[in-house]
Amino acid sequence: MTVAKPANLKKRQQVLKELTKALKDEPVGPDDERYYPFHEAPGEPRGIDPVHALSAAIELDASDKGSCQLFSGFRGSGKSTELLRLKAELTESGYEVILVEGARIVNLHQVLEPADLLVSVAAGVGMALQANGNDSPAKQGLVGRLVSFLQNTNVNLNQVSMGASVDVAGAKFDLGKLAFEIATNPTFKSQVQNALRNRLRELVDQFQSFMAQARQLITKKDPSRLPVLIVDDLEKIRGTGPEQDLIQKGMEELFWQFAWALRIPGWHVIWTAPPYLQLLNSNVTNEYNASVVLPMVRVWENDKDRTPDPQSIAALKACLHQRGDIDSLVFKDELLDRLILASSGHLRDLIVLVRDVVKKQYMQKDPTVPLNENQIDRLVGEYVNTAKRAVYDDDVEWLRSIAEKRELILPNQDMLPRASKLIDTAMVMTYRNGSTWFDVSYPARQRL
Amino acid sequence: MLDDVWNDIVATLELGSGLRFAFVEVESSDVRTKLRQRLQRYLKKQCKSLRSPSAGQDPLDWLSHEQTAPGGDPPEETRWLVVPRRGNERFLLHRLNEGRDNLRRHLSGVLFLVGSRGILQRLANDAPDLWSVRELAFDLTEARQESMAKPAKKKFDGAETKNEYDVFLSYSRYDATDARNLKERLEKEGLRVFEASDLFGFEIYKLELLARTGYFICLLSPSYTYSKSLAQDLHWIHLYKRAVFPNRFIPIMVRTTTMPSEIRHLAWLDFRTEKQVEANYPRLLQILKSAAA
Repeated sequence: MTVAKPANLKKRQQVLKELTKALKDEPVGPDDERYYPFHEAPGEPRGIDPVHALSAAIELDASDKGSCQLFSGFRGSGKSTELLRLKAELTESGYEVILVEGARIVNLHQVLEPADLLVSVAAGVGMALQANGNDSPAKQGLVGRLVSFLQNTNVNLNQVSMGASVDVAGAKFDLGKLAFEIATNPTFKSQVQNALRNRLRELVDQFQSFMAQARQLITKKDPSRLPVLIVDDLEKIRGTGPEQDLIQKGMEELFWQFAWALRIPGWHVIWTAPPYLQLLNSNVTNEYNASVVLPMVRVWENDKDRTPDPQSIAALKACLHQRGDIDSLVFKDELLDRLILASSGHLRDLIVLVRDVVKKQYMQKDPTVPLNENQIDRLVGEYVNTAKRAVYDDDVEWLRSIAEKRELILPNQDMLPRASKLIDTAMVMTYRNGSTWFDVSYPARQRL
Repeated sequence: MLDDVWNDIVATLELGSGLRFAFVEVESSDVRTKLRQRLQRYLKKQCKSLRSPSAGQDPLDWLSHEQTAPGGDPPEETRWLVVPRRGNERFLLHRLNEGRDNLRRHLSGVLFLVGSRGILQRLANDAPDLWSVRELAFDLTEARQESMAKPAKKKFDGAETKNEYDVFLSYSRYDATDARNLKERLEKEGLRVFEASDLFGFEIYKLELLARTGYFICLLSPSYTYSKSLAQDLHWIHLYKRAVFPNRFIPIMVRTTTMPSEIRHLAWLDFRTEKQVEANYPRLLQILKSAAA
């Protein structure tokens, strides 16, 4: 081993800075060099390919009515990344796909009702159409229909009538602002909800007409293929504090009682849904053509000893290698295994752990020296100590039962808010090999 | 305690892009002030400042003012926000949680959220969106300090009470028998030996210990040479000895192997066979005792 010269040290620090950027937490599309295809990895680390399951339901649908599917997954598991791949694959197959980022059009922290969701989705689709081409008269007519409907309600549209927009009956109307106001202005949102709550059927008719016109606009090339609408981020809707229960009930109502309103004739629609929905009501999924859950990467087997799964570990290593030279961070390969097992197959947490390794190495006197066993163990210990703080003493018994039975059964309905929190904080995980099973995460296990 | 996390703090400041959240649990206002002052000193050296709300200013108002206009390129800044101890804490956490994406869009740099005992647990549960993207979270409360201090004290008791060793004996765990034999022999001569195998990685305390140790002996063998952990020890000790530990390296070959580059220039003692051990042990003792005298 040679002693690195200062220039080398600086160079290494620069490399580590770049690596940190490559380890940024954000969804990556299939064309991004950081993307790793888990669905192609040996051993099916995530069970069946979720994108294949979703696209198969679309491609095998021979009706002209379209389909409606749910896509769900745990926080930080890579849902948005998979949806980007779904979009790319369907586009390649000749489908017109509109992907709407829910976070930009709805408020993720307030009760979502079908009315404001549909208005927001219409605005999102309208914005996507505007972004894809010029404002043709047909498009103006399309937006005009929606605006005329809203004008006939008690919704005050003055606050969304400014800015560059389409001309509706001599007035400027800004779709972007409409979506923005619904997402960020609680007063306007509740105004929309109050005005439309008793006219939902009417709104749905208007919405479906709007979507039918939108379909004509985008399927000119191949009208035989129904277009696809993907609405991302809705699984992130959750409340904090007293409104948490209300919001969860609202989501149950939306996806169960109003499932009919979420079907759009002539479209294949994929709605992202929170993972706790199945806990609330297992019948919800019956209302949809398919319901797909994206599990964590299965780093251990569903056996008593939680035997590490070498193929899944290898897949996660390969995923990390897509981001940069990870091997130079640790003295031996097995140390990466420790990080992977500590992450429980949760991609975001694994990336955070590796970023922590980068930081430790960066701060060493000689940043070219990889971290040793002791340092990695200490780092994992710090991660566990922090992550397990999400668990309260009262949660331990329930977590213990999951760890033993590998099933997710709520002792009573009152437990739901806590259960969804523990899912949200990645203390409870879902995996799949053959069937779906549950387990507590590695940090949570250290708390039992 | 602050020293333990300072490197992580600096790395968080220097690495990464966009907005990074650092959560701090701290009970004592003294510790909080020390952390803040240290941050300010660090940032001053970088010609930067620590931004925080003015006295009496509402934290959410302050954050709202801090956010640049959408579309702008937010400058990299370090911000310090103390979460109010009572009453408004939950409200603030909920609003921050809701505004996470906007904050990430419009701010860049590190935002320290500093709260009282239990804040980390409350953040995990009351602000799960923020919690899920935490870059750094650490606990500076007394309870944490105590829990950190206990194992450390136990681990280093020997070093702390005796203060000084004659020999720092570094070896691979596969050569434990040779190490034990040598240690016993040296101790019979009244020499104090600190043994360190690759079962325990190299830590900074060992460097401190080296300053109070007469000689560094490493038992060379293939398992030693190819142990990355020991190679790292050697690397650090080599760097260190150049400054304050010169001429006190004694490599002993117990199995035939190549010499690590750090000590290739040094003469080594041959302990590969029993006969060679008996022949060279007096020489080793002579060196060690001359220094002790």
